[in-house]
Amino acid sequence: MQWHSWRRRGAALAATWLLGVWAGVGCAPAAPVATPQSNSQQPQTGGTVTIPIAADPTMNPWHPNAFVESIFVNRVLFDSLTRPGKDLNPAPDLALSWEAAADGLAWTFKLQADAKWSDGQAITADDVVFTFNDLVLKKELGATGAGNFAAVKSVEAVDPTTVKFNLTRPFSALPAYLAYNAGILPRHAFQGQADPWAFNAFNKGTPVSSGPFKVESYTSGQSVVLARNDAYFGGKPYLDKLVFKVVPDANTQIAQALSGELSVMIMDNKAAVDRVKSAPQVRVEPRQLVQYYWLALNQTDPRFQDVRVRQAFDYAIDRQAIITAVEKGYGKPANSAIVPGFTAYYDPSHEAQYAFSLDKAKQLLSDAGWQAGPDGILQKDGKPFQFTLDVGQRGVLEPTNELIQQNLKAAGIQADLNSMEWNAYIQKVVVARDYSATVNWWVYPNDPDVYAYYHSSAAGKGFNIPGYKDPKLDDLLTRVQTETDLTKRKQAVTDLQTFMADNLPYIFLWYPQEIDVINANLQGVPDINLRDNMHYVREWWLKK
Amino acid sequence: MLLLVSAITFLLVNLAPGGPSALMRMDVTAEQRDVLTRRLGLDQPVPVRYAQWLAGALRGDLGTSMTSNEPVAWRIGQRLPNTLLLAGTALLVSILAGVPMGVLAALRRNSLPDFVLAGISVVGVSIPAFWLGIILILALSVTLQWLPSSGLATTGSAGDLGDRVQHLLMPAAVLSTTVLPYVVRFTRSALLEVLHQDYVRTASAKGLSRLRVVYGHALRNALVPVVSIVGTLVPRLFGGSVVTEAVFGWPGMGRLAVEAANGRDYPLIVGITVVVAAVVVFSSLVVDLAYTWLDPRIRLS
Repeated sequence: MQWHSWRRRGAALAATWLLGVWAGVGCAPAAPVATPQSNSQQPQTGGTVTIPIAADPTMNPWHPNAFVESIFVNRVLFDSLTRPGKDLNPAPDLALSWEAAADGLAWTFKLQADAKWSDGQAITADDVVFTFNDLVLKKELGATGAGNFAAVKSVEAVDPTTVKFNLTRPFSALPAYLAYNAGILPRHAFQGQADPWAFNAFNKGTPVSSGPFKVESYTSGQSVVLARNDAYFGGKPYLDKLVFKVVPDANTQIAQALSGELSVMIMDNKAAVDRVKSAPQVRVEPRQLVQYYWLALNQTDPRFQDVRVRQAFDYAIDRQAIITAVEKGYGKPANSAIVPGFTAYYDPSHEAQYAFSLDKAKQLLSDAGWQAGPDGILQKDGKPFQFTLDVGQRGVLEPTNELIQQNLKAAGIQADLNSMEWNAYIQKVVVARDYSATVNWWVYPNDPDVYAYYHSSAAGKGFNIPGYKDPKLDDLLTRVQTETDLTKRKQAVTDLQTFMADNLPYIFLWYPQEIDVINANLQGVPDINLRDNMHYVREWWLKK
Repeated sequence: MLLLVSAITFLLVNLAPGGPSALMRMDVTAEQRDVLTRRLGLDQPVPVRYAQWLAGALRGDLGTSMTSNEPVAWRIGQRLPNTLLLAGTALLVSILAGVPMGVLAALRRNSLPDFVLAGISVVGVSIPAFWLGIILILALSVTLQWLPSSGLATTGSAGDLGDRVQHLLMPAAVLSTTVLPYVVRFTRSALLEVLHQDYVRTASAKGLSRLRVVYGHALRNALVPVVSIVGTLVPRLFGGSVVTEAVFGWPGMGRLAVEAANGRDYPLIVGITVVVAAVVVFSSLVVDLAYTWLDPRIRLS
């Protein structure tokens, strides 16, 4: 019968197609073979680079809603006084040079003379004054990142190309902090705006910008298209356009990187790294970050106040195994807050400290008075060593906490996991400080000044999450923060690292690396993480 | 009814732990949180905030989104047509494909076509949309490079009809798999019920061809319960669109709702809930009207 033969043919066709798709998906798709990148190549002009973001950006670096995805767009659109150098030290951007006053209570910056806004107006000291005095330093606005400039009293224009930051105390890290999401905004564009955060024509439309690319069109939920700014003071970019495309799903981002719809992306979930590495149309590059994962043991809990207990935790947790499991090896165990990327300051002598040793952990716990108890859980004064680890559902935190739980169990400590939605987690742990122990991370500006995260004054409501207090640590932090002589500062940072490694205010876990997936045709991309790379898009070019 | 929905949603959302995402970040200081709490009006008690919202809503002002500073009504207005397009296309595809499949299954009851279709139904209901979406993207976008994998149209352009259809194909196909099985199964059982009725046997006995009997008489009556199930599929489509829109970067209401929920954007969450409730009510109304057209016995005298 006709129907039966059709059916048979149809089934055969379907089976063949399915097999073909399965095979095709399994193999690397055909694509132009990438030639190795050579530095002697001449940059070519033209082309469009597409970068994914997870949601709509707010195009104002100081806006309370400008975080995560907005950072990429804002770093391209708005130049700042300094930018992260390729060696992490602050490099010139709108400011050509800078100098601290003798008493350390002021910094003076000399600006570019011929920088212009995208509407043709000149960029002057007045714009810097406006950005800081009228936006950042106005407490009632709640600008994002304002906390980084707590030491700035006011900003004044000495002349159109010279600007002076007046400080309440010495602040060596100011040039580095000015490179960290600190774009300068145009004063003339904000004239007459009663509420700068409600200025949607700017923040969510077509802002007046200073960077190598300016906004051509913004389509909510879909993309921001930037076109080349031919008048950019740093030199005309090679690319025609830079597109930030909204791609919320991480797997779709990987698929689009492989299909060529995206030019560069960050691979947060490193599980698929090996698969992507084998694709010829992209290259996979690890990057240094200014980031470290930590375990905070709340210092209001007397059990955690004993340094031997904290050291025992460090010995008991097999950090290298966690790095291998959750970061696929892209990371290094940490023993202080100073990242290896700070080549001038990082002290490698602590790297071998707290290498995984269950015996040392048990010994220290025993020294601290913990004895074997029922069910293999240690006890003291009749109470078992049991507490809850609050886990935020983001990134690698859940698998990390599971591994830590297992490690601690082997040492006789019972850690129960309480997994929470991220927003609720922040409310409980960070806002209310209602926690015993938690794992998280810090990302911070490219400078070893970590005062805000460790000083005793930052306990309770500040960034000193464990609430650790020690006058010796406070003294070291102050020295790092205020010392202007480079040799003396290096010494202070060295001492700081020794203190941190020996006393463990946070249990330092590891320094992660970022994995960038870059299209084989995209050249001129410096070897720095993608956020910092946004300051260098002028140098990017596409091989045809 | 909408008033009740808005009140309950407002209460539930404000009771949820956490707060607007601008405040709930690791790098926000306590002073900033205090300032922002006051700016967003969150230091006032919930009933006061609800009264303020209601006063605005009755004038058509659904408030300002906390995560983007844009008017809530405007944000919803931007996204709703996209979701209606996606869900509408998925529904159309499900009906156009599902009804004939259901008819075939009913007519060839307990034979191979019936079993194959039953199998497809089970698979269709069980396959998670995000998995199917990614597989299709890998196959059709990455490997074969036939279709684009996200967005409404090619980035930066409004897109001509062909471009927009290309972008619509995969997400609509994936979304339709969440409802197609129901249409098939329900059409099949509805038609089977009807085929055993006396009037069908009478029509056959009269000498009418099989085709005329099925499509002219039986199907028209079978469609009445099918129309009712299509009405219940509308909320299911809205729910399914959340995942599909996330995977395909489709700028619709589903994605907006998830972002609003994660970011505790209270006015936006309440606004979306009220609008979706209104759409569901409207679709129920349309279904009721379709009944009266299909079955004259239901028309009120």
